[in-house]
Amino acid sequence: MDDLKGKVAIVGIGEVPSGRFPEREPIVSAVASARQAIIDAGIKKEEIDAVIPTAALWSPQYNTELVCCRIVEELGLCGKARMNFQVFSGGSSCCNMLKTAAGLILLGLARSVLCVHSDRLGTGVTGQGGIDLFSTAGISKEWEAPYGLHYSAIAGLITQRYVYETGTTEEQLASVCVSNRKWAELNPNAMFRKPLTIEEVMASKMLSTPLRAKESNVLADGGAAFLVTSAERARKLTDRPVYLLGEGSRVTHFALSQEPDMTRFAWAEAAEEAYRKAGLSPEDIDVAEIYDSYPVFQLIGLEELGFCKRGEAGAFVYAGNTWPGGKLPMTTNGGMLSQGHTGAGGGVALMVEAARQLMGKAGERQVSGARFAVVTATGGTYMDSYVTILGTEIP
Amino acid sequence: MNKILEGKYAVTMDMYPLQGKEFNRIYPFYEFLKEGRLTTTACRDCGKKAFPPRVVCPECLSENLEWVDLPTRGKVLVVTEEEVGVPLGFETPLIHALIDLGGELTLFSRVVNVKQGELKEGDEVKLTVFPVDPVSVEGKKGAVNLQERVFFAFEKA
Repeated sequence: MDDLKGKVAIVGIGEVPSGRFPEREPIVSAVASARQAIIDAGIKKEEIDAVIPTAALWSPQYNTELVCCRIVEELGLCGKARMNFQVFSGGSSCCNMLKTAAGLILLGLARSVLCVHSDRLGTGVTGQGGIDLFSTAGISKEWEAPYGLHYSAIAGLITQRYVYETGTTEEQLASVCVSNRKWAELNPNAMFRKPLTIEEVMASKMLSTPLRAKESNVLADGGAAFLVTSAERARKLTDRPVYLLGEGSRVTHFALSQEPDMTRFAWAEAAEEAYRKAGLSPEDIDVAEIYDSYPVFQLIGLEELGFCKRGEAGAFVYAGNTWPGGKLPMTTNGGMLSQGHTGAGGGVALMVEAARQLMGKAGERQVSGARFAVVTATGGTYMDSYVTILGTEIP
Repeated sequence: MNKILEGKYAVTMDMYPLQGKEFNRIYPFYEFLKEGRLTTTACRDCGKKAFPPRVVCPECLSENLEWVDLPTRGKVLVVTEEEVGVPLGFETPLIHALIDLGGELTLFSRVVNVKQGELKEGDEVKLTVFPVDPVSVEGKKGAVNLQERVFFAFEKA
């Protein structure tokens, strides 16, 4: 279980801008991202033995094309690629794609593995269609959908409980959105780049108490890809391979009401496992790519991963510690709150961003000297807690 | 049939499960619900009471399960009032709560017959059962049968 440390590395990344691009077919997003990742890695595409597309939610037809090897054909890997299959666990897919790629490489079943995501949630569904999709996707048909429960209501309930238990203020919650936006202002691939203030967040309309519109992610079209290979091969390709150092995860529930503690989930256990495998502690982390979707999850993440004490994350973010120039850069692409929610791609974008920061390719938002990054991800109605630690050195 | 669903994607966006014996493994749940009882499955072998109702005991994997009653009164733990962006066929405000059922389990439910701002943590609530849109099911020789359905929510006790 502990043998993954430093054995595989991300060597190439690709991403297209998130937003509303009706003219951009999702296959274009997938292929453009994959192409960038291959070029970025500097490998011959024939070294890719496995292509792992994660699922697209907007269309079963498109998703079936991904399952049926369309990316392999588009990239000219027919007759060369050994496998193409889907790895999908909603928002946490990125972590499972990386783990699966690592497993294939370590077992000698693949030399390099291409992980790809693309979706069209921005222009592929109508406004009401998006609401309806997220009133059913990952929500129990028998036990929760009949209440008219939607992700805003779920995040509302969780935020309400978190505020009740920790005394976090509305301003502190709003400051998480501001922190994300400050990063997005520096991210050309982000959907929302206009400066945002705490007052604007608090003046936005109420979605589901106490959650406001600007505290909700926005659905977007997008695509991203990362290329994984063995550590040995990676060292020949680059002097900054992004090694997989440690990972930890727990699946906690299907129906959210069965989660024993919906203000903690299993982040602490998952993080303990990941830190232990990596041989690192929270103090060693230079960049924290914490899965957002709603601000409360970043606060929970900061606390459960050991960056803040319980109940202190709100003040920590409010004070600017997670902003550009702060002591713990967090969710440096702007997250789903600002870069946009592309489905499973919200997590893939964070994995790609962590690799980008460690590779030193983050442009204006580069965290100088970043060596170690943590990525968190979760799928469905926060059904699982995944923590992945990446680094340019093997501690 | 709910007017808003007509001509739209009524089948995919039907928010309620089919409840008849022919379509649903846990049809007794809905039959009991019609009697005002909230039930779930318990394992005859190890005694584990699970919720939602299961077909296999999640503790010992036994299939030897029985239906048992749950409390129909509980206490509100958390409330959220959904003001915009509710799924098709629902009206705002939609009030949701996490409810503690006598310490036996917590579940989400909608809370009805309450105005916005009236429901608070600690309030006592009780089960309420109401009919929902029946669904047409094709029978033999082209006959179309309407399946009656119910669902539950909670209201202030």
